[in-house]
This record gives sequence, structure tokens and C-alpha cells, in this order.
Amino acid sequence: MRFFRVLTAFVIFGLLVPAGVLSARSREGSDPFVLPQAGLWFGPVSTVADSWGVVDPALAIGGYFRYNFPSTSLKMGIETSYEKHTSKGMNKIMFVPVYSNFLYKLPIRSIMSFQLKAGAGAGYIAIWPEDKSQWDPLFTLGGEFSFPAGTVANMGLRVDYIMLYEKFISGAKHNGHFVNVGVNLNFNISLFD
Amino acid sequence: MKRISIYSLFLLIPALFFCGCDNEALFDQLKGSKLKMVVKGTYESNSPKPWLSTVLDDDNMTVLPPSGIDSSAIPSGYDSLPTVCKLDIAEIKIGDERFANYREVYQRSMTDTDPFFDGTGLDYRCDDVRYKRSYSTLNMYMRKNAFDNAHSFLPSTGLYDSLVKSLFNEVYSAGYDFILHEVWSMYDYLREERSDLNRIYPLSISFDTPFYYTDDDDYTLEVRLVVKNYIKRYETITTNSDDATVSYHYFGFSDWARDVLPGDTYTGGNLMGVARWYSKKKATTVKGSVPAGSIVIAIPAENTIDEYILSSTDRERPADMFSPRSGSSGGSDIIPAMEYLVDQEKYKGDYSQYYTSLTTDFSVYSDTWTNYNTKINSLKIPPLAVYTADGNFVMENVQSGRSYKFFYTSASSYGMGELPSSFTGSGTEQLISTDYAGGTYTVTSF
Repeated sequence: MRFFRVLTAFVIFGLLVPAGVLSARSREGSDPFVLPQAGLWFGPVSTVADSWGVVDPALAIGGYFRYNFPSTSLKMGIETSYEKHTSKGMNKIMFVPVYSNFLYKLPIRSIMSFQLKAGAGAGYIAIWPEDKSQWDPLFTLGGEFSFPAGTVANMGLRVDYIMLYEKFISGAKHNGHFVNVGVNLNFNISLFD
Repeated sequence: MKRISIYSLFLLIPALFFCGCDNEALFDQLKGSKLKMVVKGTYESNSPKPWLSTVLDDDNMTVLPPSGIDSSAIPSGYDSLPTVCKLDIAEIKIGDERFANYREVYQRSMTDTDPFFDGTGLDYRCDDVRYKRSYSTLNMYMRKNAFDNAHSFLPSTGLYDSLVKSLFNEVYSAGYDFILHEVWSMYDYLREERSDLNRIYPLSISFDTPFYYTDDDDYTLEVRLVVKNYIKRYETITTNSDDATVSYHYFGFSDWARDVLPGDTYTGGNLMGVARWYSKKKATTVKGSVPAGSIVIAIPAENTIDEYILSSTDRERPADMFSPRSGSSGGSDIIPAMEYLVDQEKYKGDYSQYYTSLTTDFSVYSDTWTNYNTKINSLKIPPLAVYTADGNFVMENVQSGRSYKFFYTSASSYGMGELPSSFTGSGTEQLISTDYAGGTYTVTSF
């Protein structure tokens, strides 16, 4: 079962490779959204909803890389971040999500670009006092807006919701829910032309 | 070519998505707790001795002893025990770790059926603790201790004033909150480092054997405070909001262990407790037969019975030089104020006499106090104790895989505000092996 799921993932994304190669040349222009971007973000992150109160909010730092599809509205990115939560009691969480996501730029004509994001991946979660850690699947939704600050850099704000999916484990009653808000700084990379 | 390598990087990430076949539900574990904690207000771990109705007056009631009050002034409820025990606990720590950082406010009726006093205990919310660590102490942070049925009198007239009310659980209710009297004991007050000492925040309670937490079982911690049949009435002199001197008669914990003498403000060190732990898979029941009306105890085999007893010589307080602490300076009432000045003169005379009687080395005085404090501090409460009216006793939730020594004594040999001062038993070690887990072990000899 697991093999077929992995195979499907490879097939789907494998089809996009030639599409990307074919359309690369036509994507020139001053819209920073169509350029590859690498960036960092920093901001507070908190457990929410069902996971509220388990640990206290904390600060997180993350990084990402984004590349374009053959479309001026769609991008694909890979992201990771790091956060460590403590609490007034014994609970602690260290969480490192690693995921890829699609970004869709909203067709609003403005110097600022507004993007919606959705993605999936895996998260490494370590908890205390139980001293246990594992990789769990995760899903994410979010949004961000950014504006160019100069020719290379862009700055913006982002909001993400991450759900760490655990209910597939037999006997599990809870998933993990995180929301992070951050300040973005990314750079357009013109390496491939 | 470079673009192909970019996309292959993206391919890796969804592949990670398909993982987690051997995972545990970590958020379930974070939200819940396998460890349980139970708080009881009895010397006995189950089946406690019923409430006695004796009202004990401590000898520290000097300014206005009950016999000196005009009897028509005393309200009818004065000479009965309080009905509500109030404890406000900020948190409980295990060692230094904040595993129960939750406030609990208890207002329990002092009857034989209340779970706090009938051997069942009250659940205290706690988190898990770290595995494979050894913990030897619980630290209970007491915010308030109060009993109701506290009365105030006016020394200047000898007349009854009113019922005492103090703030408890953010509400003014009947009862006197005596927590500030429990901060120190007389010994602590004599010490230079008294600002670092605090006997009630936290109240330090030791486990009978260190608690070693593992993942393989459901553990319960049992914390017992000696409250039932262990209270006494005390007096404190203070001024009220009208600047009149008032004398409060309030109930507090008995000074059987650490004597409170006339004029003492501090009554600390008298709230005693014990903690023990047991696990679901290894708990067993212990039964046996003793004379009717006995208290049966079980102590860890590595201890001796002397650690659970204080003789009357041990409890005798050394001679101390205490200033006449007749409360405040008397307020606006002329008679208490003048009495205070007279007491001060007497104190000066007593102090000079005492000082000249000391040997050249002050350490004799301090050593006597240190030895007294060490001896009283060393008193342990037995981790397991039961009362039996008809002679057949049942001890519940005894951890198997350990050795114990069993003793018994007559429950009527000690009264209100006292603890047993002698036990019968040979002190033979009896191993309760894990074969008895879930079953019954019978004690045939003591």
C-alpha cells in the first residue's frame, strides 16, 4: 500500500518536469512572483483549537525556496521551520515541519502580491515529559502578502495553519494544530538564465 | 538541467508524507496524563479513625483564656469543633519539576463521609513526569489554611466581639486564615537565615521510598496531610480596623510535634504529611487480625519504628529567650498597651538572667535548639495505616514487590491532636512478592 502511494507521488510530480523545462524561456519580466525565490521568515507560533493550552506559544524561524510552474499565478515551494514550545507545567514540544506547497497568486493588480498556499509534508515532533519523537504527516493552509523592496528583495507577512495528522493511528483522538504568523524576507534568484 | 534538479528536490517532500506506520498518538499523550495524584486529610491511608469531638485549647491562650471570658458573652457555637476545613493550594511540585502547576481550593466538611476525610481522597490534577527518574520529595505550595468557627474577643472589656471572617477563595467567609503563623516555627525565628526559611510555601513532603516512574504501568501518587483528629485552638492578638486590640481564638493544627508556648506567634512545622506511590498492576490488599479498636501501620523494611515515634522528651522544647510577643503594642486600648510595657520590662530582666547563666560558649544554646529541630524534623508518618473497629483490618493499594514491617497500637491510646507514641510489633521484615499483585496478602504475625 505504501509503495503505491509513493509511486503515485513520483508519477504526478514527474509529469511536471518537462512542462517546467519547456516553458522556462518565456518567463521573463519584472513581476517578482515569477522568479525563483529563497527566503526566511520569523514570528510567533501557537498551538490552537483542540491543541490549545497544551504548551505556550513560542517563536519560530523558517526558510523556504519557491519555483515557478508554467503559469504566472502558480508556484511550488518547499519549506521548513523550527519551533520549540515550553509550558508552565511539564509539557514541551519541539516541532520541525518539512513540507512542499503550492502558491496561488490572487489576480489583484497591485504592487503587493497576495498569495494563498496549500501543501502537505511531514513534521518531526518531539514531546516531553514523555521523551518521544517521530515523523507525522501534515497538511497546511496559509496566506501571505509581499511587496518588493528593491530589485532583489521582497518583504511581507505570512499566516499558516499546520495540522499534524495523528488520527490515522488506531486509538488516537487528537490531531495537532499550529498557527504561525511571521515576517517574510525573500530574495529573487536569477541563477538559471 | 538545473531545473530538473530543482523539481527532483520537490519530489522528495511529498515522499516524506507517506510515513508514520509505527507512530504513537503524541498529542493524546500531551493532553492527558497517565500519572494520577490523590490528596487525603488523614493519618490513615484508608479506613480512618472517626472524628473525635474534643475541643483542645492550647496553653498559648494567655491574654484571654476561655475561663476569663464572661460566660454570657460566649456564643453557643464557640465550644465545638469547626465544620469546614479550607485549604488553598497553589501548586505541587515533584522535586523541582512543575508537574501539578494547577491551583486547587478545598473546602471540605469535617465529617466522616467527606472524601477528604474518609480515606478515598480527592483527585489533584497533574501532568506526567519524566520517565526513568527518581523523585524523593513532593513540595506543596500552600496559599491559605483556614478552619471556620473562629471567634474574636476584646481583651479590654472581656466581651465577645464577633465571628472572624477572612478572605478565602476570593470571598470573605467565616474562618481565620492562619497561614502566616505557619511560615516559621520558634526554631526558625531564632535563626539569622529565617528569611530563607519557609515551612509552608513549600510544605515539603517526602515519599516513603523514592518514586521511579516508568512507562509500563499506571501509577498513582497518594499525598496525606495529617488533619483529621489533629486540630487545636490557639490565640492570636492583633488590632482590628478600628485600631482596637482583639484576641482571635482560631483552630489550627495541633502542636503535639512542635510545641507552641504562651506568647508565640509562630506555629509552623505542625502540618505534617507523607507521600507514597503505587501502581495498578502491582497493587495488592493486605489483611489481618489485631485487637479490636487498633491502628495498624506498615513501614518500609529498611526503616525502624523509632523513626515514626516521638517521645515526650523529644518533644520538649528547649529553654528559649522569647520576647513578650503579646501581639501588637496594644493599639488604642490602654490596658493591653500598659501590659505590653510591663511585659517588656520583665523580658529585660529574664534576658539578663538567662544570658549570665549561659556558659561562655553560646553554642550550647544553639546546639540544643538544633538537636531539637533535627529530632522533630526526623519524625516520619507511616506510609500505610488503617483503623479497625472490630480487629479485622484491610489495607488497600499496597505496592507489592517490596518488604514491609507491620505494627499496631490501640487507637484510644492517643486522642485529639496527638499521634501514637508506641507500637507493638517485632519488626520482622515481610516481603510481599509480586505474586500477590491483584490479590490479598495476609499478615499472620507482627
